[in-house]
Amino acid sequence: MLDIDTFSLILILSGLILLGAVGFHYANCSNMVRRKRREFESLSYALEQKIFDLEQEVVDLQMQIDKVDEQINSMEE
Amino acid sequence: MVVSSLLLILNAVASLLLFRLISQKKIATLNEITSRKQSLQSKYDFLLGKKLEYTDELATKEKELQTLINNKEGIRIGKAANLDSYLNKEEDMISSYLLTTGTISLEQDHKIRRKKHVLKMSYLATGVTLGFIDLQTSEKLKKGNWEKI
Repeated sequence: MLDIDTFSLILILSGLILLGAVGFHYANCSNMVRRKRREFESLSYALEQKIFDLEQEVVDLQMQIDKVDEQINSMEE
Repeated sequence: MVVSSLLLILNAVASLLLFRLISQKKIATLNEITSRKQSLQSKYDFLLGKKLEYTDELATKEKELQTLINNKEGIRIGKAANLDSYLNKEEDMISSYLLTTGTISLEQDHKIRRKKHVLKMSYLATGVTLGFIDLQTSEKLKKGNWEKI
């Protein structure tokens, strides 16, 4: 049979192991979130650049279409 | 001994709660990142679709305009003067013939000239491959009858 001191020591060690597991889990999750956030930021930067370029192209195309429409209308009149 | 056991149970419960809290926070953050990523991606896809749609619309309208111009003024070769320098070769004469008859446009002619070096084929074969010239016309022109057609 274990005496009180040994039993207490085992309990304290178990508690410490639990705390260690929580700390390890926290570190793991933080790393994963940080990595994902970094990936997202680089992707979002690239996508925002592309979106900006696309918006410009769409506006240019719209203007060209309007111009051609005007020419067609004037030809048809 | 009882106090130690109670403390251990409390510690275990607190650890489990913390564990759960950390996991929930991680999942919430990852979900937020994913939704922001999807929103950006969908915006990009929408704009890309819009661009393609406008490009097609512009091409159609330009064709329509060209048809109107041709109907009004007859088929013109915008850069006919540029063709003079090529007329010493049969290939260029064929090209000129195809342009004047309106079989191909100037843009298609340029495309054939560019691609024939890549494909390592003759002007006519490249035109047929690209679908600008039909096989029958190509056969007639190949025989050197281009001036009689």
